[in-house]
Amino acid sequence: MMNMNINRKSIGIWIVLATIVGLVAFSGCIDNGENDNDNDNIGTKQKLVIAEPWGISSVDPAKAGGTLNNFLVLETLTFMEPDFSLVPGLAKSWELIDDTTWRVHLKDNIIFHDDTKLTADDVKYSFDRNMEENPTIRGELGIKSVEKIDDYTIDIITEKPDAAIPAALSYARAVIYSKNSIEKDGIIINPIGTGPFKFEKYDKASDILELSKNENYWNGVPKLDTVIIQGGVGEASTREMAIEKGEVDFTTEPPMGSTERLENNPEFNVIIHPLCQGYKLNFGNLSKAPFDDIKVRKAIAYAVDKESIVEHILYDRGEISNGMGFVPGIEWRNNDLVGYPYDLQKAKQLLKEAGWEDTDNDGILDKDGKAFKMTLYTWPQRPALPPLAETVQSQFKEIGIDAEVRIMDWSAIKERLNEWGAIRVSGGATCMRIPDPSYYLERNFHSKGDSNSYGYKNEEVDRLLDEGRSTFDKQKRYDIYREVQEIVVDDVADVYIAYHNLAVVTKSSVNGYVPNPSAHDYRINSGIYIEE
Amino acid sequence: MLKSILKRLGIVILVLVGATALVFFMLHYIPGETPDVIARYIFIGNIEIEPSNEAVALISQYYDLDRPLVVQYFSWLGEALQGNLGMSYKTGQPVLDEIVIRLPATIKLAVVSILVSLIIGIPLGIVAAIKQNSILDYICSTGAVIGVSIPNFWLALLLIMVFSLYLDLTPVMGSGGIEHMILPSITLGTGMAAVTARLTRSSMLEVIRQDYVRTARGKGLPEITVVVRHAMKNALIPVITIIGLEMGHLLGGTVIVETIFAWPGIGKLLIDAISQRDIPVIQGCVVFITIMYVFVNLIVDLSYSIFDPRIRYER
Amino acid sequence: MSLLRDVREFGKNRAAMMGLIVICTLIMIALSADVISPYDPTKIILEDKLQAPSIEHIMGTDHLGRDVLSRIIHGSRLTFQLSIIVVTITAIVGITVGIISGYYGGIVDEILMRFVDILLAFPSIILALVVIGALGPGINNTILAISFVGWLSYARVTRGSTLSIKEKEFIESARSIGSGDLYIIYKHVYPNVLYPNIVLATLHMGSVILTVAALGFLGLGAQPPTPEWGTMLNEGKEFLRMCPWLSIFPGLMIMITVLAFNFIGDGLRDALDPRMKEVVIK
Repeated sequence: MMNMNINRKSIGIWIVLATIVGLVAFSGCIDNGENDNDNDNIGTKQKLVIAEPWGISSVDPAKAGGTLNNFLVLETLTFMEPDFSLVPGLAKSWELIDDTTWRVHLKDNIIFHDDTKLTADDVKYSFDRNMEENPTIRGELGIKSVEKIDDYTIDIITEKPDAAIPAALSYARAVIYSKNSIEKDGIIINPIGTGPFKFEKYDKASDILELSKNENYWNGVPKLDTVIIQGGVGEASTREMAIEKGEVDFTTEPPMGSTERLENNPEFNVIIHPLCQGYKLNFGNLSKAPFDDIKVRKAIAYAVDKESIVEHILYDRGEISNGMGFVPGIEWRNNDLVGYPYDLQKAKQLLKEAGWEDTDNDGILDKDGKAFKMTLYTWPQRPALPPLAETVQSQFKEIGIDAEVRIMDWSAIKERLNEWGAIRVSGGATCMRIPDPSYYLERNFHSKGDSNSYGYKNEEVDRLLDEGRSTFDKQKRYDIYREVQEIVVDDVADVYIAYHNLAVVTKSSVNGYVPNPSAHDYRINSGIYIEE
Repeated sequence: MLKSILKRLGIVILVLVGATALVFFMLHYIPGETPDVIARYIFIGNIEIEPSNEAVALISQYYDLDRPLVVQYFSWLGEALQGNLGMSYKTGQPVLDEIVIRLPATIKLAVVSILVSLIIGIPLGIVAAIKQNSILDYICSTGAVIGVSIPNFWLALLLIMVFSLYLDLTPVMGSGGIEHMILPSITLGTGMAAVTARLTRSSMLEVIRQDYVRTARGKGLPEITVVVRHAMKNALIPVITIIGLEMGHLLGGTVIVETIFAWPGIGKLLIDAISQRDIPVIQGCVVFITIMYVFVNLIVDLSYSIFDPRIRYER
Repeated sequence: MSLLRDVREFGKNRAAMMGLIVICTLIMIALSADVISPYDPTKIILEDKLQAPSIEHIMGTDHLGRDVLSRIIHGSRLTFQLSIIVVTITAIVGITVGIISGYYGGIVDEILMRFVDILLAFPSIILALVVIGALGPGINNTILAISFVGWLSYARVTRGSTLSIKEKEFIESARSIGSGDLYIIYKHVYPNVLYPNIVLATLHMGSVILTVAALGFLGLGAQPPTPEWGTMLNEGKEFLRMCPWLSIFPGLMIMITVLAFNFIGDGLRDALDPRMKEVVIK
């Protein structure tokens, strides 16, 4: 009897053990493919492993064009150089035929990764597909249609006269790919481009993108054989540890405070360079109290101690802004602006003039019985943002504004900005995604701009922006855009605090990296190589 | 037996409908957000650029997001019952695919963690029971309480600090290899090991007092044989149930541990989806996690009734 | 008499007594936080950032120059406030539901317990995450999210105890002399379900503290600059390599507090045994 029992029991145990072993084996089978990266590349020396902060999640150019452009798989008709100048890319020249038509002549020696030639058909296909799949790209480019003239000529038709088109063609999302790119259910899973690196494979579960050398690259063969990009390494500290332990060769944006320590370590190269990006405060709603009052906005602009933020939050990886997003060195920048240097007295004075006073002596300003309490929204992916928001909060306390900080994902913030006194503490805000000032200024300050969800409206600015876009004379455009910058800063449409300098950290054996401030964050280049 | 399984299945379906309805209506707490979120992911990607109004309108129309929420929920439910969990807002891929490619990673981590917990917990429990009321027992019991009290996210940080940074034994990034598995499974396994040890100890104590163990001892068999051949075998049965009891703990724990170690499983998928407001994926994960949880409990209950004749006879 | 025995029994449990001492100390610290903390916990002094532990700053300073010790001290106040609120809310709701369910039985019982089953079938942290995901991060939403599922175990335990008490003779006799339901519940049922719930509440304190900290760690709980331990860990983990003290101290505090509550809870359970068979740890 007892024996029977034990048998039953041991059978049960065996069932459970077998299930466990089965599960392990099963899960082992499924992602077998994950690990053989290393085996594939035995013997290749020029291999670069990158830890990328953002997730990749798709390789369809209409969606992830920017990413694939950043990693040099897909290219654009025109290129933006590191100094923000525009040079020919896949196109060799372009001219204005009439007010709304740009004629673009393609290079005839460009070969796709599948050894077919790039022709006007591919270009038209790419533009049509990008704009159809992604109306945002259409909006960003301002293109009505693309027409094939002959095998190496296309016409770009715009709605209105548009001086920014040649610059817009360099936009990282206006990428060109072969019409033979492999689709599955309407989504491209194997993009075929013209860049220095070929798409090899993308593993979605682990978010690893693998690229290989394009031996036939038209503009000099790259030195690296393989590039492996681990996407979604969102934690700055993980990236720091990964590079320190030698798990990756190249990464970006270590924790702000670690930059100096890494710089002093001979095992690493730390390249710090300006980007056209920075940190600013976006008022939630300019048409509602309290931010409808320009005095309040000015007071807030004066109350931010920009110098100490640059020194302690950015660890000197940045520079105080003149109130506008363009970094020094950009030809379109209005260098006469001074912005709003830190001045507590002025801030207090302005708030008093606006009717905000501390009548009940609780240390918080009030007006008509309403206390000045606001919320600072920000997101965690940029490591400087949460401490920046906390610092701004404590600086607001000095002028009697009680703010609280809320850290949530970027996309969750937008709908909350209509709350009373909501401000978004923003990072990124890339100003030169194309080498033309219209992109940043129109998006942010035109009353119909895509990023202008906070309701900034100044008819003069709208008029100037429209005029600037359709003026082909460069000198005139300089004047127009400088005036726009002046008005916007005078209006305190937002509070631009500081520009951000990007840090790229590589092993010291990695050479040839050329910073390119045109990228959203960083951008690799084909000259990178590993020193033996 | 069949009846009880059917009853359970009924509850499972009820749980799923209730839970997904709850999640669905709660996540739509902020009106007007959804089309914006989708437009951003579909058209912009991860970067901080706002989608154009045209794009948002298009999305709203495409996904039919102007319908009343109740209608939207039931249309989702209708599809879900046919096995279609919808498309991820973020990637535009079927939610089912998103989950299925991540499931193996989670199962692997869970199974290895359970093994870790058994490997640590069972010997500790046995030793504590054999040497009842000794210093050893005291240390084991205290250790077990510490094990359940230590926050797993903190343990993870400490493990990273010691093993990755100072000793340089384990990698900090990536997944797939055994070396990537060590720290996450230790983190997850520790809390469970504590519970396992406690349970093993008490059930071992019960078994040691049984007649047949005394008989075996009386026959003059060596102590080690008595413990291993006679006592342990029977004492371990309740321990099997721990796997079921601990499943909720484990699934909750994977969410945090996968996030810290960037382990590409459904826990991380869920956390990402929650912060990125990818509602269909959240729904899908909730469905899957519930099913896994209930399924494991079912298996454990069934196996328990096989092991333990008392339960069998009661039915 | 039996209470005395219980107290003596509890007093003999060294671990439990130690837990009690730790908790009492922590409560004192929390109550006198304003007096004893050397610095203002939210005062940002950027010049003093990331200082290693020293005599001036015993636990060092964080990335914004705030004194970690002061933040830990104020954090203990917040932790106790939060967990006491959650445990009180959930205990009241759970005990009420449990008594109603157990005392009245029938269809009410069936519906309530089915509902409890549904919610219990769910890993609680995941429900909490979803609630936070919907409402947004913050302290109030944290309380709400954790309370949302926290009452379930109280309801379960109370129902069980109520069921067994209901059959007792003294209830019958109370009823026969015409006592109303409310009176019987107040006079007879409630005192008897209290014991298991006290044990449960003690253990629950520990798990609430863990969950609050976990949410804070994930950036979904209390928002900076609030000195919540989990939030502090979240802010500190970026400096794991350079400034490990930012990660060590808050975590240590969480562990000590939870450990103390678990020791007390275990001690109470052992002392109150055998009445306590029904209380499950989780």
